[in-house]
Order: sequence, then C-alpha cells, then structure tokens
Amino acid sequence: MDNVRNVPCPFCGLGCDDLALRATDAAFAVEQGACPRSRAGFGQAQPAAEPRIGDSVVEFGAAVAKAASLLGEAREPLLTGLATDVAGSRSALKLAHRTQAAMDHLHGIGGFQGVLAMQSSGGMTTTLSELRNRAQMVLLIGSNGADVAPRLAERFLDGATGAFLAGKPRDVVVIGPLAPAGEDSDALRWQHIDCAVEDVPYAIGALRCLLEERALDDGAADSLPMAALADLAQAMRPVDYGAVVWGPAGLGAHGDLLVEALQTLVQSLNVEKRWGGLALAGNESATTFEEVCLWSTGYPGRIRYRGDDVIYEPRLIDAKRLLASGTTDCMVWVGGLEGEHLPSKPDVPSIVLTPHVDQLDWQPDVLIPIGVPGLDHAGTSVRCDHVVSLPLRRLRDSRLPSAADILDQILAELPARESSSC
Amino acid sequence: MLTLLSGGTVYDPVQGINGEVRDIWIRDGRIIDAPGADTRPDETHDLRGKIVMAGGIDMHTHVGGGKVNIARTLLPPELRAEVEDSLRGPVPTAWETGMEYARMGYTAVFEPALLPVNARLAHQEMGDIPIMDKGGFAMLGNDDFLLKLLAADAPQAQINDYVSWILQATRCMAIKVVNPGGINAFKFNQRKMDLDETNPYYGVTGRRVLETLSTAVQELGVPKPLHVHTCNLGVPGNVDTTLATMGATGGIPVHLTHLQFHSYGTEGDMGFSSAAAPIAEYVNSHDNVSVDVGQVMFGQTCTISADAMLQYAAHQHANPKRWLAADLECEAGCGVVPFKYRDKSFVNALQWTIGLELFLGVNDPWRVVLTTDHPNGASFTSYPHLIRLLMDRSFRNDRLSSIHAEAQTATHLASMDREYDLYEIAVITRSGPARLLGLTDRGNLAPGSAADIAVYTPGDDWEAVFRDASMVFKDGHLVVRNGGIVDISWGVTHWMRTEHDAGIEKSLDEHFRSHYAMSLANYPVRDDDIEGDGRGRLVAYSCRRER
Repeated sequence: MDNVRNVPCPFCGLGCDDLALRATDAAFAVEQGACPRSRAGFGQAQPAAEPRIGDSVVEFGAAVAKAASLLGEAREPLLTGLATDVAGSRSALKLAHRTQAAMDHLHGIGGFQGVLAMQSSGGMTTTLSELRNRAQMVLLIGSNGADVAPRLAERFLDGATGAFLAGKPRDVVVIGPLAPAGEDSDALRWQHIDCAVEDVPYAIGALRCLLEERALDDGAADSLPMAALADLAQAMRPVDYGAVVWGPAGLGAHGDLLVEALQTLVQSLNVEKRWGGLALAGNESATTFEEVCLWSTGYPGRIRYRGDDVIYEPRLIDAKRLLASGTTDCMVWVGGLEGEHLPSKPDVPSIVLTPHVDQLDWQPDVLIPIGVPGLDHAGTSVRCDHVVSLPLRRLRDSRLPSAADILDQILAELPARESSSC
Repeated sequence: MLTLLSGGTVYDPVQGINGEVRDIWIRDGRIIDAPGADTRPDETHDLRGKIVMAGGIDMHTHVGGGKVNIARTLLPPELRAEVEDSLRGPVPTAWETGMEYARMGYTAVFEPALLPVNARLAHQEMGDIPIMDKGGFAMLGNDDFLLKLLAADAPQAQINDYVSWILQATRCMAIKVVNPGGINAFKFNQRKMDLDETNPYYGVTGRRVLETLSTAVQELGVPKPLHVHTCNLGVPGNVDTTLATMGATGGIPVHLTHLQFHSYGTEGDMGFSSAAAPIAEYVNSHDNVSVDVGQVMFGQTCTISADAMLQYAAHQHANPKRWLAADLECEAGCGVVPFKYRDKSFVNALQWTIGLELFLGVNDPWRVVLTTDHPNGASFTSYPHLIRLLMDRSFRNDRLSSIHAEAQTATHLASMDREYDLYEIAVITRSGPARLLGLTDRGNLAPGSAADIAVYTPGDDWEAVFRDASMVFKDGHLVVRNGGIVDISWGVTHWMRTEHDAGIEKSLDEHFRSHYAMSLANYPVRDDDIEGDGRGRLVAYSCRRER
C-alpha cells in the first residue's frame, strides 16, 4: 500500500477525513491534509516493545493474566486515560462494571466543561458543516483554534468554504490571550480582542451587557478592552448566523461557568437571529468515550460502579485526585490515542495499555503495547460536535492488539463474580 | 433444538387466529409446522391458560442517536426517580432499554429519526441494546442536497436514486420526514413554516417535499410508507395542517406519526381543543393513511425531536429549565426539552384525552400503532398502563375523573364505549407495525417466521398482565420468565435493500465537497461498524417494485 486516500484522522476532535498518506519505511507520511497532529499520529512506527511484567519481558497472555490478578485484588480500581475508540470504550466500561472501578477520561473535567454547563442551562449548538457553510461571524473564546484543532481555519473558517455566505468574507474574532494564527484574506478577516485568561469571563459578561444595552459597573470594566467589545457588539447585531466556539483547554479554572455564560449568550442571541455554540472538544477521543459512556451508563464520565448502579460525581471522581489522595488501589491506563498525554508513575499497582511504550519514563507493574486506532486497527471515533463518527481504518499489518482485545481478555481472566447482571 | 410451546391461547392477527388453543413448534429459532406424531421435542413449555402472541414491535421509539444522549445529559439524576412508571427514568441506557422492553414482551424497536450522517454511531448505540431487534428510519426533507434538487426541479428519478442511496448508506429500513423544509428554514431564521409556505432560501414548500419523498418511497418499493412528522408540532389549531398533510400525497401511502401532537383545535375559552374526531374520521375514510398516536402520560419526561424549529419555540416550557436546540450538519436539527405532563394542567390533561380519542376513534387497528413517541409523550415503560386504558373502559373513566375538571368537560371520551380486545391489542403492538414495516417474518406466529414470542398470564388488571410477560422467546431462546430476564441474546438490525443508479454519487460527491465536513467515501456505514463486535447481525429485506 503506497498511497492511501480519504483517510480519517483520529488525532484531534476535528475529525478530518481528507488525508492522503504515503507509506514510509516505518509508518506514513501525510501528503495531503497534513497538520502537526496528523504528522505525529500517522508517523508513529510500530513499537518493537514486548509486554512486560515489571522489568521482565513476557508473552501477551502472561501480561493479561498478571493484569487480571492485580485487578482481582484491587478494591477501588481506577480506569483512566480512556483515549480509545468506540470498541475500546465499550470494553473499558464492561471491565469497570466487573471490577467496580471508577472511570475518568484523561481530559477529565476539562473535556466535560460543556457537559456541566449543559446540565445547568442547556444550550444551542451547531456542528462543523453548519459552521463552515452558514457562520458569517465566529467568536473563538479562549482559543485561536490552531492550539486545539490545527486545521480549523483552513477547513471551516475560510469564508471561501461557506455555501451560504454569498461570497462575503467571514469575520473571526479571537477573545483571549492567544493571537490569531492566520493571515487575513479576501475570505477571512481576523480580529483579536486581547485579554488574559482570567479576564475572559468578564469580557463575555461585558459583551452581553453591551448587546442587551444594560449598564455595566464602571469598576468591572476597568481592565477590559471595552471599546473593542462595544464595536464587536455592534458588529454582531446584524449577523444572521453566527457561531461561538470555545476550546475547553483555554477557559481557565472555572471553565464550566464560562461555558454556561457562553451558552446563555447564544440562547439570548437566538431571540432575534441564529447563533450556535460549539466546543472544540474531542481531542484524545474525549467525545468518543463520552458518547459511549452516556448510552451505557446515562452519564458522560467521571463515574464509579457500585453493584449494577452507577454513581456520577463530576467533581470528585477525578483521576489525579484519586491517585494523589490514595483513594484508589490500582490504576489501569487505557490508551491508543493519548498522544503525548502519558500517565505519571502512581503510588499504586499499575497496568498500562499504550502504543507509546518507549516514551514512558517509568516502569508499570504490567505494560502491554497496543495498536493505534485508525492506524493499526479499524474502529470508530467521534468528532468534536458529537454528531459525526469516523470509520477508522487499519492501514498496516500490525502485530499489536487493540485496547478492546486486551481489556476483553483481562475481563475473561477475572474470576467469576458472585452476582452479576451481565 | 426442538421446542414445543404447548396449549397456549394464541392471538395472531396475521393468520386470523383469535384466541385459539394451539401448539407452537420451534426449531433453531424459527417457528415450524408441527412435526410428525412420533417426534419428541427437546423441551416443552406448558402454556395452558396463557396468552400467546408474537413479540411486540415498537415502530417509533427514540432509542438511538445523539439526541438521546443529549437527553440523558440534560435530565438530572435526581429527576429519574420521579417517573411514574419506572425507576429507570424516561431516558434509560441502552442496556436498560432492552431489559425493560423484553420484560413487557417486546422483541423489536425502531429508531424513527436517524440523522443520516449520525447513522454509524446510532447503530453502534442500538447495538448495545440487548435482546431487541433494531432498525432505523433515515431522515430526509431538510437536507440541503434534497432541497437543492427540488429547487432545481430535478427529475423524480434522481430523487429516487438519492433516497435509495441514503437507505443503503445508512443501513436503514424506511424514510422519515420531520417538519418538511422547516428545520432547514429555521437555519435561515424562519420561525414557522406551514405546509404551503416556502423555505426562504430554496423557495420549496413542505407539500412539495412530502409529494416528492412519498413518491420516491413508493417508486423504490420500500414497504414502509413515508413516515411523516408534519408541520406545526404541538401548535393549537394544527388540525388543518394535519388534514392537509394526509391529503398531500394524493393517495400514495403515508404514515402520520405521533398524531396526538398534531390533532389540536382552537375552540373553547382556553383556545385549545381536541380535533381528534375529524382526524380519526379522515383516517377512517382514507385507506392510504396509517398513524401512530404518541400518547401522553402524566409525569416527568424529556421531549426529543429533530424539529429544532418547534422545539425552540417550546423551550419556555422546559421543566426543569434547561434545554438544547441544535443545527446538524446540513441535514436536520434537534431540540431536547425536558417536560413534565401534569394531570391538573388543562392542556396536558386534554393532550391525554386526545391520544385516547384517536385510539378509540380510528376503526381499523391495522392502521393505528401503539406508541407514546418514547420519551416525548411518556416513557415506553408506560405501555402496559396504556393498554389497560384501551381495554378497560371503567378504568379509563376512573382516570378521566381525576384530571383537570375543564378538560373532562371538553372531551367526549367518557361517551366512547369501545374497549380494545386482545386481538386488537396484538394488531396495534405487533402485527400492524410488522406489516407496515414490511417485516414478513416477524410480528406473527406462522411457520417460517422467527420465534419471537411473548407469553402473558391473564388477569383482571391488564396493566399487570402486560407489565411482566410470563415468558419471552427471542429467536426461540427463552430470555424472560415472570418479568425477569433469565438470559441475554442479541437481536439483528433490519434494513431495506434498494436499487439506484450509481451516477447519483457524482452529484453527491460535488455536494459533499461544497457542503460537508466529511468525504463521501467515509459516509456510508460499513457492515463491520454494526457486526464487528460479533453480536448484531444485519438482515436485509428486498423491495417489492410495483411500478
């Protein structure tokens, strides 16, 4: 296979599927549709590493048996990472049910900021195709797009891509500390309203006051770029269809409150015109796990099994907190699409499933190399807007199992539970 | 494996069997003719005194797709225990969905609003529903591709090719249209759109969308008539639109879904009245029209609809006060609004009576299907209660006497004497939906059909009878005993195979390049997306081409 076209890329939430790849000695070069994330992702050589128990190289079967034995002894296991495809998410949920584990995706609450806002106020949302075709104006909050989804501007912001823009350029306004990552063109006009991360919520509050012609406390406006915000409010009024886009990573400590403010802003803009919100979520497959977890448990993540019941504690079931506070006694890392987000060494027994065995700078109790979805095996991953899923392909002969394979094998090795409904 | 179900009282409307004592033989998951007198079954179940029917088929229940997950997200856990009929909540998990349906003797569920671009994930979600067979209706009629074709006066043959391509790409069983052209119009900031109003961008009316799609469905030979959620959902006075919709296909078969939400007049002091009578009368006099009801039950639920335009308009009624509306991928939209139906609310109480008036007013049970439009009118777990309301007039009138007083005087429900019998219940919950869908080997107990069988213990309280099936067999396999799950099996995914000219892909490819955020090549569901986990086999049906 020298050249592969229309390849779906699982390495960020944008879900591009227009890549052309060329096989190289070790992996693939991205010939079309390249970005830093896809180059790194498809450029991964298959690790030569073997499964290990401690520092001993073992067969897969022995590593699986040891993992099952560690999990069998654990009373409060934790499944984290969870950077995997639909099949891996399903298998992780089954294993968590069987072992009565807690689960938290590596982006934890960061990935869930949109969810907490939705559970408070709901929202009005849009998707990538609607953004591309309809949005005359896009507000990028706490992100310049490129920091989260490198091809956002090329594929969806450039006004030339919009079917309903009647040839007019698209206005994109970045609100936050990051400067726009692109140049102005005939079809795309960037603007930057520069403010510190901690001031972004206040800027949004001020913008809403300006739009609704409500008075603003003088003191509150002191540190804000009020003139630019007033101009923005003026420019927003005639927009027929606009989008408010945020990057979960760039929202600061109280991101859930900021997203709620953005969603209520969008809801109020819809009284007169049409606007939609969109989170640039889904990196490291956060939205994939979220969707499967929702239909399997009724909750978006940060859960713990107790019998057949599921407990949802979005603020307490935080992998880092559980590990730091000693309230878990075994960590299972489920990877595949975790990229650079590798786990730190925990103080408890650890089972690590990852393609990145060579990058790990510590020795887990059980280390099992697995393949990368969309490269070593087929699968499904979900895009940032939750609506579209990608048919990931197997692009090379791989000796490495999928996360789902290994998780299912571990489940099968566990001693039978006394009572179970599934 | 040869199984004998011995001596049960069988209700199978497809074979015209109305309460006759019969033996049923099952071999390898199929019902067979009685073998020779000396053949001994490997297993015998004595069903003397029991009611035996085919497994239930829910033709319209929201059990898959992103909107269901949005509802799960929006409905706070503390409200789940408030639901009257079930501790599982109005929007159960995939696992609970299968368990609760099986317990009631159902063996198949169809997701009626599958967004084509969401098909892969919706099928994977439904793949996690145990025991049930599944299927989807692909939504068209607000997608920019179809509206663009209509605006350009494309020939019907090209529309047919597109509709066929969508059925194949999404592995769906039927085509649905929601608020024809209106969801798309909402994206252009139009806030209402009646059947003969035009979409502001394409200049196409809802009527035109209906005519074209119902023709396509008929000409392709898809058995299931076009599934229509028409304009003006929930709007007082929408009866005129609904009557116009039923007439809009010019005699071509058409199915009006959740008809209760479309049967409203504007009479009386409250400006809200029942229009069930003229609508039932229309259905009674037009054989090409079939309906499902979308009965309302009192309690907490969550409304889920692709009708972003009307759900947005209803958002101020959200209870609790959180709601979501979305524009989706140049194909459609969705609106999710939690809602609590109260028997002491005039409007909600009248909605409850309107649904029942429709059930009792439509004479031909083969053209009315039992649904609550789960979870929009109520959770599907309220079906046993609904069946009792239909079968037991005194129970119905007792309930009627407890609702909002003015609603009681605004309905003639108390004077409706009709009581459904078991044969009619078997029609509206199994045989009717199977016939409408074109499922020839489900929804009946004839030799050759799948052994999807529900067994009930008769009693005075029909709600109790249908709440916990005595036994349920799925493909011949015993999965439920006395309302409890005794084993897990995995059903199939039904879909409709159609034929079209592959040339449509050239136009589609251009459209994908200009509108979509994905390539045409990656759009179709791969069979492995559904079958890859080794559980959910695909079963294709072939179309009958009549013209």
